[in-house]
Parts: sequence; structure tokens; C-alpha cells
Amino acid sequence: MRLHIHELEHSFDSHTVLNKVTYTFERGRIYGLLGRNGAGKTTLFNCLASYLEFNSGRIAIDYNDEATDAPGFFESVSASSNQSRNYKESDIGFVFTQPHLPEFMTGREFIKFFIEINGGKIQNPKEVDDYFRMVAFNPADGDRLIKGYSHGMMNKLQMLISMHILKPPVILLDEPLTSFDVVAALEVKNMIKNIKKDHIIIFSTHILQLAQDLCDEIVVLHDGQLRPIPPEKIHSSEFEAEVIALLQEPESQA
Amino acid sequence: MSHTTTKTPARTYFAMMLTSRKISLSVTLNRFIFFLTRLPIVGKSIPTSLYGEYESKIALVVLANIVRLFKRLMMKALYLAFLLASCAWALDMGGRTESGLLSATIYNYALLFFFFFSYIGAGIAYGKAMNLDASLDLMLIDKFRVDSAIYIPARIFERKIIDFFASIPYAILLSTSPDYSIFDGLLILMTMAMSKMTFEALYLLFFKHLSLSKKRNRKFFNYLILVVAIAVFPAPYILIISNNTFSVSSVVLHPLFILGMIIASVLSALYVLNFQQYRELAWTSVVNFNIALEKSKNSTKDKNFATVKNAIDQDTNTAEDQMLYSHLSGYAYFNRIFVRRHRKYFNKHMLFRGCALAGISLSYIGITTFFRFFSDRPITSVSERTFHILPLCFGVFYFLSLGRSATAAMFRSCDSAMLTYPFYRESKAVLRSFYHRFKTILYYNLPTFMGILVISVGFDIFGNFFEHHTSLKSIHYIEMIPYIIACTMIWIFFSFHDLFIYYIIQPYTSELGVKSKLFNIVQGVVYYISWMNFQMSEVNMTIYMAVLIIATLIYFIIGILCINKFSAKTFRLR
Repeated sequence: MRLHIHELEHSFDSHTVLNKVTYTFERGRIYGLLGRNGAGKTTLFNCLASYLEFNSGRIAIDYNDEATDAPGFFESVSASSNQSRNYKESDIGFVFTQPHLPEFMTGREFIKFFIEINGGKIQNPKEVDDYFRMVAFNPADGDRLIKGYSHGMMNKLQMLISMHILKPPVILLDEPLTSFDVVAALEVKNMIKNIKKDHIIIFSTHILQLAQDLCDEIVVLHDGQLRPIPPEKIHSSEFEAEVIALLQEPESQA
Repeated sequence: MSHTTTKTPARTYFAMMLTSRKISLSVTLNRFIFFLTRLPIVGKSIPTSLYGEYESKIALVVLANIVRLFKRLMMKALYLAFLLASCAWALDMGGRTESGLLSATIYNYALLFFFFFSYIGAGIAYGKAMNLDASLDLMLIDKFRVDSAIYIPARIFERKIIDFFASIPYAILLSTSPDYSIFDGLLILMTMAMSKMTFEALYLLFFKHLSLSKKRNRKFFNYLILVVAIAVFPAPYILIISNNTFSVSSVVLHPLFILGMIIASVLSALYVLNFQQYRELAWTSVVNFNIALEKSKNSTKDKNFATVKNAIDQDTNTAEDQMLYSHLSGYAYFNRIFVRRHRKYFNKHMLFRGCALAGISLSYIGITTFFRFFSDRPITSVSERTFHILPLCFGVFYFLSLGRSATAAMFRSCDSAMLTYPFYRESKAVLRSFYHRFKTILYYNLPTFMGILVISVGFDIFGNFFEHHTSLKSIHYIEMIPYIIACTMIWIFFSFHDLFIYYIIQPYTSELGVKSKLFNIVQGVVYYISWMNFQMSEVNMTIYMAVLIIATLIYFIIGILCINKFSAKTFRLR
């Protein structure tokens, strides 16, 4: 399975944020998306998750590995299939920096409701408490109102929905470890590593060490373009210098 | 924090005054450019590179200075007009008139007002040290980190100098009187500036000795200032009205007074220059301003949801709720949980409305029945009533409807999160939640509906019975039917309307703001219609009810069609 982005373009007023971005992401890999503030990481995620209608380009999920790169895939797709996206919204799981949960429900009620609504899309549905244990969420807290949850607890529920219950092919994590303590952060990192083989996982972060620790590939978003860091350099001593050099390139040169 | 004890040369203060002027002008120019870029149509052609074109801006600086000077002169002219108008009014109240606007009496009385307002009032209330300006002073202190020990005294002196020069037209005007020369006018202005300088020093003295950096002390001091200002403001009016004035010029132009003011102002100036707590004074102002700004931002942000902020019942027994709704699933379960968790809040409001309307009904019945049985008036025949209460009920329902609160609670507690999930935005999910919520709001508005039904039927149909001692047999009971239908339409309209525009316009942002002019316009129109109903109590009821029923039906039908067709696209998170 691959996620192909082909000549994706998006601007806000006169400022081009995504400039004919073309890239292919593969299943079984964790991609770290690095970029400066305002580079367009969240915009890219919003385009992938269908929250934003981009100006031009195409995004498609190649479920059957028909082509290894974006241009090749879009050539192979028939001309009549001219939609900008070929997948459903539910194929993209988005874990936000700020979790979005209904305050008036308990964790248990919300998970129960979520399972019922998405019943047809869930493979091997489990009991709510089993899901709680997957993210090290205390089942006793499941009977408290979400309004009273800590930020970390809400993040866990969010990840549970976005990663474990629906198991969408593509999972986007926007600064996922903000507000997690050391132990919880380790749990989440292990969780991400455990599920990567069945998904395409892309997460945005500012923390180079986290990217090095977790990612199989690192992609830098700069000047509206995605550029990969060679995998062999990720764990080298020149990694930081390479990333910073890329990010410091004057925008007109890109 | 240690303070410098070395003497600061005068040129440092002067340099600070110039720098603050430049920054102030720069900020004003940038704001003006920003304003131009936001103008419709022409705004887009204003290049943002203008912010960096410093040479072009120099021309604008000259223009800006001219505009500022003009503005200041205009304010002075307005102040003068205010003084003269106050004189004329006070004279009029005292039963006296003057033959000309600029007679000697008017000059003297204007001086009296000038003395109380400019010498005393402005000194007390508008001192620079007490009123650091948020757009310039606090910005320079907080963001530019200027040395407040130099900046504040520089601004104090600068303000006095500018005030003096800007007030010269007064001196010129005064010299048109045969009793005053231009020199007298300038002397009056100088003593005014000296008086203000003295009040500046007094404030600094109070700041130090009353510890005005502490919140409680400052609050007390502000009340004190208010009391003094309230005492000073009416003083010239009272003096003129009671014909107990004194000659201000004989006071302010007296050599002893002038000498006293010179001594006071010199000592005050020295105190201002040597005051050691400017940093504390500055940071007190900065902190208070930032707190007030934060409070204002929060209240603006949440003002649409302030009433429903705590609408969720946090003491709910969730285990009990689980058992209650275990037989439900999907959106039925979801919506029932929502209603359950907000029941305390809405039950309280429903009960209040029900009781209030019941109270009004019972009071009416009680009062009229009391007079019916204890009044000596003979039994009268049925009178033709021209006043009807049903239109008022429409207007009242606007204010009592829980539709607005319900939609606000729905967004705040539920949809602001749930609309981020794709499944929640699917067409069938949106429609299912709409119809369930419509039933919920109908339930919330039920007490109000019952109330207006009882009141309108009781007053309009049974009114003659209660008020005019007619018999129950003379009442036209058949007229109750259109009233029941009309009240039902009002109930449906208000229960449907808020939910309908919420789904079709969805004006709320994820930051709990409102981002829709259309929403505001629609709400304004409904408010206007409701208000107009208060003026319709004497219209023909047959026509009124016919229009009400037909209009509501049409609105409802079109609304339902729009919901079915468009809501899946419109009910999104902004």
C-alpha cells in the first residue's frame, strides 16, 4: 500500500505553502515530517485528511501497490477517475495536537458510541476495557466525564480511536507527544512502532531526537517542497547539521 | 532593584521624547497602512512592502504630524465650546442671561470653568504618571523595554509642554477681551501647566507613601479620585447658578499665586526627576493592563457560550446513566446522553420559565377575580377589546426560547469536537442529529409554550369574563382553536429557527468565536420581527394569526427542505 501525492499545490492569499508537492509514502514505515514554523506541515495534513480543499494536484492511496511512484500511479489510473482524492475520509486517521472529544460523555460511553457508529469498518471489535488497556488507559477513569480528563488522558483516547479501533491505512500524528510525561511518551512510541507494519504513519515534530528515535524516514518540508533525508544519515552525527542546512536554505533557491 | 543615582542629563530626556515620538508615529503610520489594506476593493492594491519603504513614509510622517496638530487643535476648540456652553447653561439655570457670547461676564465664567476643570480636574484625573497610555507608553515599556526612570519623567514634561503650546489659542482668544492682554493669557496657561506638574508630583508622592502598587490600595485611591472628581466637576456650575462666583483672574494673576505656583512646580519638577520608583509604577501599569487585556480577550472569546459554560452536570451518576440507556445505541444513545448530562441546567431554566409564566397567569386571574367579587362596579356587557396579548407573547417567546442556549451547548460540549470526525459529518448522521435535537428543543420550550398558551387564551378569550363580569356562556370557545394553533406555530418557529440556522450557517469557530455576518444579520432580523410584535397588540387578530400560521408553515417547510439538501455540506467546523 502506498500514499501518493502528486503536484499538490495550496496557497493562502498570495503565499504558496505547498508548491507542487510530489511524494510517495509506503506502508510499514514511520515518516517524520520536519519543517519550520509556518512551513505548511499542518496544511499538508489537513489536505490529506480532507479538512482543506487544495488548489490543485492529486492525492491517492494505492491499496494494491500498482505503482512505486506518484506520477506512475496517476498514469496507471484511468482518465475518468479525475477526482482529486480516491479515498474516503475515514481512510485517514488524524491524531491532533489538541484532542477533540465531547466533554459531556465518559470515556467508556464515547468509545462504545464510536464502535457502534463505525461497526462496519472495525475488524475484530473488542470490549471497551480491552481497548483501554491497549493505550494504558485506566478503565476506572473510563467512567469519569471527559471534561475532567487531563490532556494526556484525552490524547490516549484520541490515539485509541485514530489508531487502534478503526485502523485506517494512513495515520497522521500532529506533534503527538506534547504534554505526555516520560513514561507515557515511551508507551506511545512503542505503540506506534508496534502498529507500523499495517499502516503508513506520518508524524510531524520539531524534536530531532524524537524523529531519529522513532522514524524510518525523515522528510523535510521547506519552501513548499518535501525532501527526504537519506535513511543512512538519520542516525549519523551529521543528521542535525543536514536538517538545519536544508531548513536554512533561502526559499528562492528551492 | 537598584536605581541609578547618577544625574541624568537633560539631553537624555529630550532624546527619549524624540524617540518615543518617532516610534509613536511609526506605529500610527503602520496602523494606517494596515487599515488601507483592509479596505474592500482598493485594499488588495496596497502593497504590503509599503511597511518597509521608509523614504515614502517620511512624507507621510509630515502629513501625520500635521493631522495630529490639527486634531489637537480641534479637541481644544471643542473643549472651548464646551466651556462656553457650560457657562451659558449655568447662567440660564441661574435665571440670568448675557447680551453677548463674549461679554466680560462670560470671559470670567469661562475662566472659572477653566480653573476648576483644567487647573484642578485635569490635574487630578489626567496626570501622565497615573494614566500611562496603553498604545504607546506601555508598549514602549513592555515591548521595547525603555528605561521607565527616564521615559516617564520625559513624557510628563513633554505632555506639559505640548499642552501649553496647544492651549495658546485660548490665550489669544482671551486677549480679545479688553480686560486681558496676551501676556495675561500666557501667564494663565503657564500657571495651569505648573498646577498640572504639581498634581503629577502629588500622585507620585501618593504612589510611594500609599503603596499604590498594591491592588487594594490602588482601588481605594481610585475611589478617592472619583469622589474628588465628582466634587470638583459640579463646583463651577453651582457657583454660577447660585451667583457666588469669584474673580479667577484676580487669583491666578495675583503675584503671590504666581510665585506660589512657581515654587510648587519647581519643587514638583525636582521630585518628578528624582522619584525612585518609576520602574515599580511602570510595571504595575503594565501588569494591570495585561490582566485587563487577557480578561477582555477571554470574555470576548467565550461571550457566545458564557451562559452554557457550566451546563454539563458534573455530579451525574454515570453508572446509573449507563443502565438507563443500555438499550439504546448509535446516535439515539449519543443524543440521549447529551440531554441527560445537561438536564440540570435546562430543567432549571424550564422550571423558571414555567413558574414565571404561571405566576403571571395566576396573578392576572387572582387580581381580576378579586376585583370581580369585591368591586362595587355593576356587571357590564361584553366590551370589544382592541388590545390583544398574543403578539406580545410572540415577542416574549423570543426572549424566553431556550433554542439559543441549546445550540450553544450543543456546539460547546459536543459539536466543536465531534465535527472533526468524518463519520459525524456524514449526511445521515447530520440529519439524524438534527431531528433528534429539534425534538429536544421542542421539549425545552414546552413550559414557555404552555405558558403563552394559557396567558393568551386567558387574556384574549376569557378576559371579558375576568374583567367585565360576563358569564362563561358568553365566551366564544371556538376562538380557542386558532389561538392553540397560533401558539403552537410560535413554539415550532422558535424551536426550529435557532437549530435551523445553526445547521445551515454554522457560525461558530473551533476557538468558540462567531465568524458569520449572515448569522448576525439573520438574528438581527428575527429580533426586529419579535420587537415589532410588541407594537402589534391592536391589529386585527384574524389577519395576524393567519399571517403567523402561514408564514411559520412556509418557513418550516422550506427549512426542512434546506436541511435535507444542504446541511451535510454546511454543518462543518469553521
